[in-house]
Amino acid sequence: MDVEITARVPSYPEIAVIFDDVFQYTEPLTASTSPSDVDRWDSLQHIALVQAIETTFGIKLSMDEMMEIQSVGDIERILRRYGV
Amino acid sequence: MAIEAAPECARRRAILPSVDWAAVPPEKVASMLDTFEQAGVRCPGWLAKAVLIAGHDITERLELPAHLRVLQRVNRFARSGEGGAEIDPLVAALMDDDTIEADVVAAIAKRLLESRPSDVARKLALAHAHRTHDLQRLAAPHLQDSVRELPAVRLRLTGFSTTQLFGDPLTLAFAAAGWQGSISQAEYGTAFTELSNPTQEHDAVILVSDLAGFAPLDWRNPPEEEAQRLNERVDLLGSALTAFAERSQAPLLINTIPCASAPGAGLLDGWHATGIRHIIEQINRRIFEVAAASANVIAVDSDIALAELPVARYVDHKLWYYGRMAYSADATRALARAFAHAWQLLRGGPIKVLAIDFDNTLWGGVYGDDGVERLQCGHDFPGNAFRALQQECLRLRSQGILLVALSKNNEDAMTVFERHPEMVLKRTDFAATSVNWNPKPQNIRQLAAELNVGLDSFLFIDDSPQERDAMRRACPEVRVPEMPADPAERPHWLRRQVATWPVRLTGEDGARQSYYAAARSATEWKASASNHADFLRGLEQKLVVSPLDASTVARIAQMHQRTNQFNLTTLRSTEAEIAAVAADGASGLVLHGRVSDRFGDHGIVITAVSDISGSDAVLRSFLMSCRVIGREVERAFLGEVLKSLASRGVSRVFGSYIPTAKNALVRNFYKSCGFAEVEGGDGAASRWVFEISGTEFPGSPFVKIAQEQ
Repeated sequence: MDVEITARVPSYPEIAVIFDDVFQYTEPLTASTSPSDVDRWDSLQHIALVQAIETTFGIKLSMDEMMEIQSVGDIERILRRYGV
Repeated sequence: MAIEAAPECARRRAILPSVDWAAVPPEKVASMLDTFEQAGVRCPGWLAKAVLIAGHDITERLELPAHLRVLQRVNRFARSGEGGAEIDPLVAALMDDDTIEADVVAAIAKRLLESRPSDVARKLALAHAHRTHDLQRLAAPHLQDSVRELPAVRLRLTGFSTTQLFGDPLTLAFAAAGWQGSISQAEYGTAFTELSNPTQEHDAVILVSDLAGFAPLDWRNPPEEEAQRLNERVDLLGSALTAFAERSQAPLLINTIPCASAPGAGLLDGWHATGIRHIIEQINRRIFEVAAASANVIAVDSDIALAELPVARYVDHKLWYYGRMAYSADATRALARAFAHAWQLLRGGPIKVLAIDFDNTLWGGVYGDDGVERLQCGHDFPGNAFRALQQECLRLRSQGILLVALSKNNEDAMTVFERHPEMVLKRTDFAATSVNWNPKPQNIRQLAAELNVGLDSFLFIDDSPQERDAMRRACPEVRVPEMPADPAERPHWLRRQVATWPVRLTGEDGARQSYYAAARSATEWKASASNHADFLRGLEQKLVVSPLDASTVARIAQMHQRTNQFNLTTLRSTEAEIAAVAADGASGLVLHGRVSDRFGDHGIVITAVSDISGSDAVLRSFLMSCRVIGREVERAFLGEVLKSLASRGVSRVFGSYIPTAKNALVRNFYKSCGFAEVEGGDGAASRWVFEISGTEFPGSPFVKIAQEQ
């Protein structure tokens, strides 16, 4: 069962760097940070986000995972699944 | 503990590969390297690289490949501020070399941008931005600084699929190619509309083509019917491209469909109606046909553009289904770069001159040490690789690029091309030669003046890193790519040098060779002419006489420095001195002459500098390039100089002959032109005068005076 991890800084500091790069978003991140918090997080920039995650962590995400990512917490969960 | 056991750990690739070297203090790294030395074990390359990428300044005693040594210098500078001046030329060598590992380039660029954000640091990041996500990230924030001074280009971007992700890579690639690109995106799926309505607002239209977007295949239909539909669509594309070419001022850059990694018809893929390769080839053939017929449509070959990527990574399939992105991020960057290269070639054209080193570049071995017989060039390994490079040089020559020899050797090294039986290149293939022991930057400047082309039109290839470095420092305009150390890699490497790619080939390109070989052809032809007068008449020489201007003063000064034989006073005047004479039209006159004949343009080959004082004038210098000696050009030019002085109210023109070891040729020049001797005599300096009284001036029936354009 997934542990609820809201209101906590991400366990992967790289994610903050990615958010800065891709969305120029520099506010503190929490697991619940989502497209509604980040102005530039639209469907096109979502691709840039996915590509940044893939290259930063050296993994290749599936179509489902691409859809699954709706918050920072989703990213962390997926990364843990890959054993990153 | 791992540090003490480092040599053993390194051998077993244990522990050390997983160390985060950035977190290890420098003294620990130093003591680890000491343990290698004490154990007499070479520190492995992968470890040195990891330590350097982490930012350590490790000992210079380690043997490192060139690019890692640059990183080491950059680290040292970042840590201590030492050796900054040496860094720029070192980094310049890495600029266009995609064989350097991307993570090392990224580390160099990152550290430089942090410690010393210079032009060269920004350029390095930009030049490699097409390679990886990391490098693109590094370059992107500096884009504004990089493009500020660059010429602007307005690009219209369209395609058969989603083109949004091409925006940033295109802007970066155009910046790397020297252009400030602004991109306007067409609406999704409107490529055909864009083609049929070209606007005047853009400098170029980029059409990103891909198979799935262009030809969605529907196998509910019988294959024959689908084949028919595809034909129609290919016809539509062909006519749309042709119509665009006719109507648009701006060129269209379209990429071909890259090869596929999965077939549609298995082993029948190349010819069956359901074969993907078969379909791709039909589309591409049409694109090439239109490109061949119209100068306005440029076909960018995707397979060449993507050659460094595995085919299976051209597409990121989830992105296609997510948003109809036809290409992966890697492929997008590579294609964007190919578009930028195409634009740059279209605008600037390829290089005009290939300057080639001899020893260990055109042949294996050193002529001066090995003699002709032992030089490697032929049908056997390893001479066949050198021979193949010579073939590539000849190919470029046939495409209009001039070959010039630029070698540190005794002059007789040119005879190798005749004396070595396997040489593909011949002496006559070179438009000019500079085979001597002078520094190559000095020689290349002379070659540029001789051929009348700018240094930025040169590509210099040389196996010696020192020569390349010297050239980059002294002549930054000359393109000096890093050449692979392995001769086997070089023919392929030269073909990939974008700067040599022809944009359009016309009859002119082949003919240009003979223009530049003008002097040589004339000499050969002279042998066949029945007498000297026939020869001169047949040359159809034209002389254009013009006063000095800002663009010619350097050439005139250079002629003063270099001319020995046809030089009356051998005055080595400088640029400033000559400009000073010309500055006051009342007291000085500097004229020069440009000569062309049926074999081509010789450029500026003759000049005279005169001081005027009332009705008297003195020819301070009168000299001519030895390329046109014996053609009566000097008589015609002197006549024009005298007429020009006469028109300024001069009635007496004095000239001197000052003998040197080399100018005996011109001892009687003034006499032969109707001057009277004032003083002097046998073997000594002499002084002559020409009284301008009527319409009698020296001249030549074999030199036509042409008006300047």
